[in-house]
Amino acid sequence: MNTIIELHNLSKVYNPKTIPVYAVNGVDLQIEEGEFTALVGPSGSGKTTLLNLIGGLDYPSGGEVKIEGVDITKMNENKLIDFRLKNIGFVFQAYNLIPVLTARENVEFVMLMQKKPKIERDKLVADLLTEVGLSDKRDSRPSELSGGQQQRVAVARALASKPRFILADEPTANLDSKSATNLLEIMAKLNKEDHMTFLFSTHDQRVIDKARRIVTLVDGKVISDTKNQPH
Amino acid sequence: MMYLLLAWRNMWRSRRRTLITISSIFFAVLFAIVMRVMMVGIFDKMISDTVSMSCGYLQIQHSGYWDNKSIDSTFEENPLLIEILNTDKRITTWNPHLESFALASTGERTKGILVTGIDQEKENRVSKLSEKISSGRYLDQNDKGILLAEGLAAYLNLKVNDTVVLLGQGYQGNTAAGKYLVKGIVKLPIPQMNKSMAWLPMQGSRDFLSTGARYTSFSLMVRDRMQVGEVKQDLLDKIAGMRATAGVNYTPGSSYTIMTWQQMLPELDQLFQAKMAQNVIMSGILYLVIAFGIFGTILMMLNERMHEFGILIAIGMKKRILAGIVVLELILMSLTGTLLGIAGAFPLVLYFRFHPVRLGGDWAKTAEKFNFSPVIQPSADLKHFIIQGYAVLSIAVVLSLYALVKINRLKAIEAINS
Ligand SMILES: Nc1ncnc2c1ncn2[C@@H]1O[C@H](COP(=O)(O)OP(=O)(O)OP(=O)(O)O)[C@@H](O)[C@H]1O
Ligand SMILES: [Mg+2]
Repeated sequence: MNTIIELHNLSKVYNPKTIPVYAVNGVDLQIEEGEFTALVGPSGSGKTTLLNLIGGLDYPSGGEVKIEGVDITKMNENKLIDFRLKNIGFVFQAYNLIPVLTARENVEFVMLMQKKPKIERDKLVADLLTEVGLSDKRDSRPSELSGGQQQRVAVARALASKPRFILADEPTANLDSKSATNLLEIMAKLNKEDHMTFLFSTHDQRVIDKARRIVTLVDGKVISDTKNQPH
Repeated sequence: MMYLLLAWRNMWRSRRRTLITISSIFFAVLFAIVMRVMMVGIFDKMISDTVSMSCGYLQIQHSGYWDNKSIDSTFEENPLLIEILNTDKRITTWNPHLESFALASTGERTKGILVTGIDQEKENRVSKLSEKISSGRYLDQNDKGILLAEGLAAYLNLKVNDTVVLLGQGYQGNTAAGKYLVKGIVKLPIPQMNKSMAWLPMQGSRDFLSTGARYTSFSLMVRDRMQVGEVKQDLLDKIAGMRATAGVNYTPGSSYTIMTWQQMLPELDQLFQAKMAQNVIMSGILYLVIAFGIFGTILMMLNERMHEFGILIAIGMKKRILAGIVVLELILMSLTGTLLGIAGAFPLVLYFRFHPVRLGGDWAKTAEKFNFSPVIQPSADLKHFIIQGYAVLSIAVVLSLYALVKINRLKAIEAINS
């Protein structure tokens, strides 16, 4: 198996000069291709901070973030933007989509930024919306979709760029339990069938249960890393 | 193109705000254009009225004439010069004058006046003098009579068919004196001129001043006031060329000067420039208000969309593309308002162009007092429309720079969390 994400002694200190907060504190972690990992821990334990560092949305105070061997902490902002477009899919907690674009256009948008030809775009958009079960909602705007449907479109969009992995920070936090389970099942299916690597943070026990690996953070440190049998 | 589509849809996202912004730009542009063309129209009329009655947009004189106005500083007729004037397409008409100061007397009263010897036909083409006759008739070819301006006639207590005596200084020290029958009274649109002007037929004037076939000036009317400088330069070049090639026809000692209306009527030009500056300030204030409006829109728009911008940058949109979309949106909005404003001003201005406003009563009196013609006809010069468009667009472009800077400084996570 290929190691996709490699963290070495990673740390992030907020307000280092006043009251320092060690949001991420010396984390070593490896994520292999095809894994389906939940990042858990109490509020304030550093999950979001860690995901932002892995996603190249923020710079660490120390340590390395290697994506397929490339240390992204050395990249400048513009390079990082381009790197994210090519390699990382993102699903945020809520309001992921561009309000003025339809579901189809939201998914197509990333491929436009990647300058993919129209034929390829049309096919992949149709496939992805079918996979997340929203082919009938393709022409709806986000405001016409439920929270769960919006998150499913966000997953489709994250996949559209053909990333190496997908990061999702509490993707189910704003969903009712049925939608949350549904979203997780779709993610699990994409993981299983397309071998897409997922790393997501969550508080929700039913979501945790769907993971195959569970990494627990407390006070910015990994305190446990276990395999899980999804049920 | 997806980006254009995105900009367009974003623009209509907050429909009310966009409509308010667009309509405020619309009214500002409309108002600024109407204000400007009315003002320029008033001055176009005032300047053309004044120059057609006095010195033309350009005047050819004998060098040195302007400073001492001596009848000795005159020039002879030169067919080459006339040929030059008649072949320049930008010169619509021109008229020769033989002007001199004289005393007009009726025995009881005396007044210093400006007597102008005119070529009846050419004069009429420039100043439409015959249309301004309020009583009596216009001068005939070889007429022995005189035309008096209304105010002058009133002062001297003269009516048509009365006699006036003129006294002055003629060519090369001769005494000029003559007795003339008043053929007609002229009412001029410019009150100042009404008090002191009189016209003789060219031959009558030559006889009075003993000049023979000489002129004090040729006054030129041009198609476009803005071309004055350029026409002047061309004429100077041609006159220089004429001298070089003329040979026999060149009259020794006659050197020409060309003056522009701005040089001859500096007060009028200054008044115009002052009004123009005032107008620019007024439009400036108007646009300042608009600028604040546009800026408010930009601030609100940036605020509302921070989260979205954060997401877009996170998923890999380059900042300059994002900024491009936002700027495109703002320009699209300003352009819409501007084009609508121009489109709205067009029929309005055209209407008043063809149906000039005629001031009545007190307004007309006030206008005349300040040497304005009581007819207000807007200028239809497209330039005034385009300038206003440019102004608004440049404001929008400059203000969009703020959005540009803001987006450039934006941090994805902070924006997502906002
Ligand atoms: N921008 C910031 N400036 C200062 N401190 C911050 C900032 N962002 C996060 N923190 C602090 O860093 C620590 C980790 O925060 P983080 O958001 O990563 O936790 P989390 O595990 O995602 O929490 P939650 O489950 O509530 O989302 C917290 O103590 C938080 O207060
Ligand atoms: Mg968090």
